[in-house]
Amino acid sequence: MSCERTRTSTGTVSAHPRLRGVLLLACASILAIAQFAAAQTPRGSILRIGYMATEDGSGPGESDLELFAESLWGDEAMARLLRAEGFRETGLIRAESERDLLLRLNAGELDVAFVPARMWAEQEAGYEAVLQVRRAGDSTRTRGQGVMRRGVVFAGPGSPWSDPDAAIRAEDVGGYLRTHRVAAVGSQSMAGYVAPMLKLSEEVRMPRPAENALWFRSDAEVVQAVVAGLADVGVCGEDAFEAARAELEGSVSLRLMYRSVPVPADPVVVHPRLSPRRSETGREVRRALRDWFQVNRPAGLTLENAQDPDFAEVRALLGRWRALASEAN
Amino acid sequence: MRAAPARWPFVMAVILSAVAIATLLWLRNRIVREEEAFLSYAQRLYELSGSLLRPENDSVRFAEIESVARSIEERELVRRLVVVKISRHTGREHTVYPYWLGAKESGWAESAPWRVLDIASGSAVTGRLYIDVDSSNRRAIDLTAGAFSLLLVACLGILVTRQRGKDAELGRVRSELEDRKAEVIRLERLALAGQLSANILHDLKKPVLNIRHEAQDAASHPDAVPRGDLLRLVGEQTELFLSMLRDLGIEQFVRAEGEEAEFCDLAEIVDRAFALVKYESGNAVMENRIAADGSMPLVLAPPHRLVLVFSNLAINACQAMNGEGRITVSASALEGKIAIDFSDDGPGVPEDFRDRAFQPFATTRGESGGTGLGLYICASIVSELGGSIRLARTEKPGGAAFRIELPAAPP
Repeated sequence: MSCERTRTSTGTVSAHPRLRGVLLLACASILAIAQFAAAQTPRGSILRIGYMATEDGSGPGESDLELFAESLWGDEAMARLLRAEGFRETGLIRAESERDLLLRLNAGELDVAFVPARMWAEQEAGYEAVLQVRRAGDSTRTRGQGVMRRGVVFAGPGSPWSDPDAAIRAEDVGGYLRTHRVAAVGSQSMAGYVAPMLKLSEEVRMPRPAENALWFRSDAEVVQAVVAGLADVGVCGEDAFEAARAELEGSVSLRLMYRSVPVPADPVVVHPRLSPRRSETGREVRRALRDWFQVNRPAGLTLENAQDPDFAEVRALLGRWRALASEAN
Repeated sequence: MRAAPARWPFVMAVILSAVAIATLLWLRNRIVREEEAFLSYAQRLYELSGSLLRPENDSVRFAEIESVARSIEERELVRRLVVVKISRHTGREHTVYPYWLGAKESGWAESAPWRVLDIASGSAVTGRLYIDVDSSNRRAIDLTAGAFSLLLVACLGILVTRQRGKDAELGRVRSELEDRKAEVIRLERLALAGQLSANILHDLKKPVLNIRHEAQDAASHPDAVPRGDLLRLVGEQTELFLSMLRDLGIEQFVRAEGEEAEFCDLAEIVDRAFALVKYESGNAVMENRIAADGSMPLVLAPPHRLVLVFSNLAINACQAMNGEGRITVSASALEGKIAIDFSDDGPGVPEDFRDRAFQPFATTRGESGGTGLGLYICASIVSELGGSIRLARTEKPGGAAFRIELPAAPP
């Protein structure tokens, strides 16, 4: 853990009672600030980078982050900054599940973390979004910076809507989904699950349209499950759906039913202590991350600057989602 | 006729084919065992990966399924691999690797000779592996073994056919040999019959010539020979002639069938034999030294057979001596038998002829004369009478000597 040193000046103190009181107040303030700073500083001397293992290339892998960590300490200026911040080495923390990652965030265990957008909204430790992951095919927000993604609800070859001429009527869809399977990715995914499912619920006017959901670990697996016939309808990110449609080249009928509103792509968050607004080290770490991904493009990913306000839609969507959930209950 | 190919290449082909078939079968067995072990490994790999999850969960882990599939497909043995999940919800099999297969190819299950393996989770089946095993090596081995089998059968067939052909040829040769043997025997018999005929004619001539000479002498010198002696001589010769006529044929000629045995005085028999050959003996002197006073035991035999024996020996001697020299016959009584020694002054019997002197058609005169049956007939008659005849050694060089032993008639 890094402790920021605070320097205090010593000198001759007069015996004036008012002056003594001011001095005592000043000391108390200094101690309070020091305690606050200690609480805000990540523990230990390891720069902890948290991530979740992904199998569909939606995030960086362990080997990518190892290379990045090496590059951090290979840059003399960066290394000096890190040492000044109290870091002596870098550690990669792989979360076993979304819940695990959230718990670590809330405990303030991580200095930098690649997290789902929903987790940024749900964490309570003040982590700040500083970057955003961009995949090939991601759209850019029209106003200002920010990478956006959409989710889709699509019908597989075994559903009644595989025929392009079949009309998609909300009442039919709702009735159908009561008895048929919907393939979906983990519920932490905003673009892959929350946004399209919200869209579906609103379209079919059902608070819980996918009670028979089959869970998969990535958007790509959702599409594969629908093509394989394990589910008749799928809910996932638009890019995975479009990639599968392109790959199958029309030989398998996949029909888009609903498209969600754009949702900000997953962020990279930093501990408040490394906020670029307050810490030069935080700024340099953000820059280093962005530059390294720009050069190396692991799994085709790049990072772009982002700020908390860019994820305002996430909070709004989650609000609607929770309201829907409470309605369903 | 072209010679048949050698037998050893076929035998070698049979041996090599048998060895090759045994080796190929061993190899095939090994490949099959490896296949089974690999299939079992692939099945276990999926079960351990848990990528098809539990039966109550219709979800799967596509990434892990693909990862395991890739590692299995690296093996050359696998031509195609399909993984299906059995959905509890639909009750059907869904292809999860390749995930698009069921949607793209509805008839994929009939597209290959799949080996189907259950993937179990606990006691329940969660999915199945369809593996199209590359059995080209096995098929190649089967084809090669089949080819070797055909070669083996063909070579065995050729060998058996050839053996049968040889057996048939051998039978044919044996049959021909038998035929030729029979032909030779028949020709030999004809030759023997010819020789015997010549000999019979030769013998038949003797009494007739005697009668003619006696008649000529009597006509020339009516008083020289007493009439009684002349008539007795003519009678004896006539009787001998008739006896010979009765004996026509080789069997009768050498056997005493049909003629009664009599007690014969050997001195008289030898005289009659000398008289029979008198006109063929030239200037040869024939001396009968056998005692005629009754002291010599008698011999029980057909007299004309005995006459034939001594006349043949005398004729042979005269011919060997070219009508010049002396023939001597003597006899001595031994224990139960009589030994007769017959000798001449001729050139003697060649050493290389002595062993076959009594064989039929054995003659020292070659093409110039002689049937070679004289001594044979003598030996046959003597043997028939229970006696023996052999060539004896002479005390002085030259000349031939015979020792004849005949059983003496009981007194």
